[in-house]
Amino acid sequence: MRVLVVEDSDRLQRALVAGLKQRGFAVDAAGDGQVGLERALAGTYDAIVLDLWLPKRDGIDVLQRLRESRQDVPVLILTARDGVSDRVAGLDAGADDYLVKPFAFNELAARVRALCRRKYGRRSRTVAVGDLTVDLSARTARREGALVDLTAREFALLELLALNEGAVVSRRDIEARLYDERDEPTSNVIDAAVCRLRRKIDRNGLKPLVHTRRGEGYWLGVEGVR
Amino acid sequence: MNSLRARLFVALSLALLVALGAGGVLIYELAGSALHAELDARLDASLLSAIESANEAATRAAPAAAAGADREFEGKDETPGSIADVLEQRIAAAFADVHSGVGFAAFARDGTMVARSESLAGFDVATPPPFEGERLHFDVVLPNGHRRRALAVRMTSIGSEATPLGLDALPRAPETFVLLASSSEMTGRMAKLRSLLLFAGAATWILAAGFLQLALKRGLAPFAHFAARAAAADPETGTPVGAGALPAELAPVAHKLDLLITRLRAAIARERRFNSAVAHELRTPVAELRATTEVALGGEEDAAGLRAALVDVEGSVRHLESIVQALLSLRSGRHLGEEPRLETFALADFVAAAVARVAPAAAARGIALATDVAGDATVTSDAGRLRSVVDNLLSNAVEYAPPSTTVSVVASAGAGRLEVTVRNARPEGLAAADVERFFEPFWSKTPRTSDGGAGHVGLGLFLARAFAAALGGEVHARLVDDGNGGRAVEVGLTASSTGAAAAVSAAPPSA
Repeated sequence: MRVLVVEDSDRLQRALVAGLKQRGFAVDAAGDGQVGLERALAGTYDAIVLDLWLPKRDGIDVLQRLRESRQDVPVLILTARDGVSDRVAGLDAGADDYLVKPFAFNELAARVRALCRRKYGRRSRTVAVGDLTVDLSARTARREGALVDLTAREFALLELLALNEGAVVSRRDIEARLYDERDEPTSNVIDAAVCRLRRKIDRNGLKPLVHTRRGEGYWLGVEGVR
Repeated sequence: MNSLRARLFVALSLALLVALGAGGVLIYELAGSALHAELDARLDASLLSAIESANEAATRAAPAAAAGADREFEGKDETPGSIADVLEQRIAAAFADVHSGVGFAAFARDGTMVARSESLAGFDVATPPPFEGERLHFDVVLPNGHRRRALAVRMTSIGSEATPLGLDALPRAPETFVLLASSSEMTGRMAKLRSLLLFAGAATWILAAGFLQLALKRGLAPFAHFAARAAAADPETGTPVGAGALPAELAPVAHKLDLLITRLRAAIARERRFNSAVAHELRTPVAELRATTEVALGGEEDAAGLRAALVDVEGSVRHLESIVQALLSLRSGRHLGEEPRLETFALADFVAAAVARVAPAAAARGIALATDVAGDATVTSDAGRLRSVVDNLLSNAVEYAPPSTTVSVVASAGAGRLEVTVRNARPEGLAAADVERFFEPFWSKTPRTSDGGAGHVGLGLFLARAFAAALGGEVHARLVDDGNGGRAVEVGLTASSTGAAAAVSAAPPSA
């Protein structure tokens, strides 16, 4: 999942980026409202974490412009403003969630994950694909009940495929969702990542769940059930 | 009993009860006196009537009785029985009715009863009390308990009028004649009057109490109305007491209360704004600290990553420290609560030192500093407080002036006034309305990040104004023409030697 953080405090921005990356998100950051709006309009994000009091362009203004541009990316407002009127203004402007500083990072990450799930029409924390169960909150995967050992990047790939169960996800989409602007994935890095994931998910003797649609991309599912 | 109405009601009811009681007693006594007088008059009339009746009887029986009577008295002059017989014959007509309640008794000089009427039914009558004059009215209680009103007259006062009664013919001539009349009618009338007075008094008291309740309720209604409005008044919502429709006595109280409510509301709003601003300012560095530490502890950071996290933590702590120090300065008695420590110093040296303190920050932003201090003026003031004010004005100007511009300081002291004015070019986008908010705590035109170290937290000008007030002066801010067709921000201190606690005393520059 790819997240945009718009926060003018450098220290908090650094912590947000690092913490969300720890939890498997690809994270881009902007330090003012103008840059934040430009990136939000240009990029493909599964969620945006948006401060309100921003230089150059206020967070509410960014949000309104975003909605006017028919961008329905989920937005979580993260701000020091704790007044009811501020919350109402934020939610009415089109925010999907509102969190007041200071906050527990796990709560922020859980809210961002929930927003991402909602974007894909999922409300349950788990996605079952055949005998594979993906726990989006615990960030674990089990095949026939056995825990599959995955890196954060591998789980992010599996999560993306699981949320799009049965549907082909293009290499470009995978690159856009899994890699932020600081990453510079090489041409075959997606193929290599899918290959590693397939080796861990589709172990010997198990029915293959990770499939390749040549020239289009990859999909997760039970062949014939799709 | 805590209500004014209840207290007034009880007090007035008791007063009314006492007044009614006193009135009743007065009426009763007056009526009693009138009835006694009436009965006494009747006794007087009865005495005359008895004499007339006896006269008539004597006239009718004169021919036959004269001789016999002479014989009787001559033969039995010491026999009480025969005396009584003679007496009865002579005055039987006057006191024949035993049930009339009217009777008489005659007493000799030594107090011995020498005659009595048959209507007394054989009861002895007590000797009348000694009295001066010719007659006495008094009360008598017969042995049977019946009360009688009595008229005692001296025989001498009756004189020849008594002759028909035959009293002067008694062997022992009586000295005092007592005429008795029943007072039962008077007693009855007095009892009736007593009952009437009690009933009328009770009824009057009950009715008056009812009217009193109504009158108190209506009379005190403005107080109740005022109390209800005062109870509903709320500084939180701004609900006033309101002087409308209140009586003239209460209107000033309501007006004063409304003034206090307005002030209290403004103070509450100020306090809340300040607290909210403080909370808002604290949230970001605390969020930084929490997020940075949680991320550092939750990941598998290498030494460089942990060091970077620590650097961020240190920055957040410094920012927090600067906020706390500003708050402590604001609340510190060191600055605002203590007596000023007056000292005399040269204004030029003071300004030069202040400019030197901000020079590094100015140089970092390419800001030029220009000073213009009038002559060799000296100032007598609390240098510490004055430095706090001037440092804040200068550091704000250096912080927010557009880069590569000039910040000028003009200072003068004379005629008891000290003026320090700091001027800088107007930052882009700064409007006159923004200048009016310069002194609000934590106000900033643009978001103030916490990454600037221990720099401005938005309390500088707020503190400067507080310190200036403690010096008996004031700080102002405005947009002015910069002389080149543009606008400049001017922030200045004006302190007066006649200000609070005479904290500042500016001496004119010497010639």
